[in-house]
Amino acid sequence: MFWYIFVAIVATASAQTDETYRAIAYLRSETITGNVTFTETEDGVRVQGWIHGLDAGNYGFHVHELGDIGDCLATGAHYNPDDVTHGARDNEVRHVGDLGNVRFEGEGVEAVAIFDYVDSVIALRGRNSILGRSLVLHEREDDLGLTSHEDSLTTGNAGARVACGVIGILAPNGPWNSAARFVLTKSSLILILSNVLANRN
Amino acid sequence: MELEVLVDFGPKPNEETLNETLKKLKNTEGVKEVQYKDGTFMVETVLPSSLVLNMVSESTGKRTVLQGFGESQSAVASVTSALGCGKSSGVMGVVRFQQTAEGPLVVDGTVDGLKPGEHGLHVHEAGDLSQGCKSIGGHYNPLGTVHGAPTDGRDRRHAGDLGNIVADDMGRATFRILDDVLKVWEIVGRSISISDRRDDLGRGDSPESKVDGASGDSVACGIIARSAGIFQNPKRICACDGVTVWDERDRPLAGAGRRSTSPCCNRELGGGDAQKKTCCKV
Repeated sequence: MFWYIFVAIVATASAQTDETYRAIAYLRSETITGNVTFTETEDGVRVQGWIHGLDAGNYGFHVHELGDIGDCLATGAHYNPDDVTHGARDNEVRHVGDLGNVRFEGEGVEAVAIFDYVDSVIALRGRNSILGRSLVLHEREDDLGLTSHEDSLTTGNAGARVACGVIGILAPNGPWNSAARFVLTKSSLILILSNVLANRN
Repeated sequence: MELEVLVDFGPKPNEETLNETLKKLKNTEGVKEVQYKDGTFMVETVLPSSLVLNMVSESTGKRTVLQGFGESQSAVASVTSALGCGKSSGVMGVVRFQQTAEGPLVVDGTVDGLKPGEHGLHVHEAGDLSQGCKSIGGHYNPLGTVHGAPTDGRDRRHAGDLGNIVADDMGRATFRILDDVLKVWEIVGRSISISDRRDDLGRGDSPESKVDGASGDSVACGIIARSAGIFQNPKRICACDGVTVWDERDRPLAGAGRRSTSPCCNRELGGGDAQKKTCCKV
């Protein structure tokens, strides 16, 4: 059933309009506020935004697999459909969700991170879609997989999550068709049909 | 569709059995590709999952469980009157969405902090919380129709029209709604919103009735996000302590019944950051 629906979705995807696809994540915690937009371009997804609420420095910045932001902990691991090691944004080997660090500059409470770049790995539609996943800001610098710390190649040893937000649709408002297609990854979604269990018992 | 079939091989699979099973699957009509990794067969196929499961069970002589599909079917929204994650006051709740194989979308939720009485429940078109619930756009309405009741035909309701939920005297609304129009994969990245007033389902006299059921402003909203499957729970995420899905059902979530080295499971269940282990790939 899902297969047929999926085929139908793909078949109709070609009927898309030319409107630019844009997504947004609004980051918020008790002390942190940030606004990040994602825009489809020919070269990849343009990531633009600002965040304030942390002191000057670098802080890990990743797309996590799930968007269950109840407490920032149910967001799963870095979005990593290829099951590869953690790395820098410009590394060939990296998690899809590895956006490296954001850099806060300025004194004290004035410190702000402002960024604008194009990433060629994340996508708003299709397999690497980040839609409905979460954008997470960490308490420490992401070491980009380069240190000997035991977490370096999985999380960049960036520590706890200090703010997060679900990546949602900004525009267009109509159907995104293939946009919301789910991709299953190994570490995700252990879905067991109740009837399978029933058969076992 | 890609199926993930988990096999109870124990510590190490019998090579011969494994190779035979791989060969058998590969030679089956309707199976495009098969891979084996860490106790799991990844089978790309157009066959029904039960057929593939039976095939793997028979060939290996072991128990099998369907671990996942190429497409997930669950989503969740943390609904709040505040923004983003973190503590908030006022209205707060969780709405889960599950798409059953051939059935309706199941919308299941509990929301606290509401005024007692009826409140409209709607899927809105955007997932933009930059201005709180003011920036989530109108009701999700891909067909450009008038507002209506969920029981109205799809040409006489917005796709996002889910009717009303009812808050009790304590301000809690608990609901389970089945809907035949919305699909989970078209609403991921959009929002769900609870309105201040009752939705008149397009039956009212005011001009707003045909737009939003005269249901007033949103009192709480949240972005519909991808979530772990509804049958997945923290203990299944964290099979890393050696307690496998096979005997998980008989074990407590945490505590004495677990092996002592279950840091990440404790973490998922609210344990401290210090207990983190790489096996959970935080």
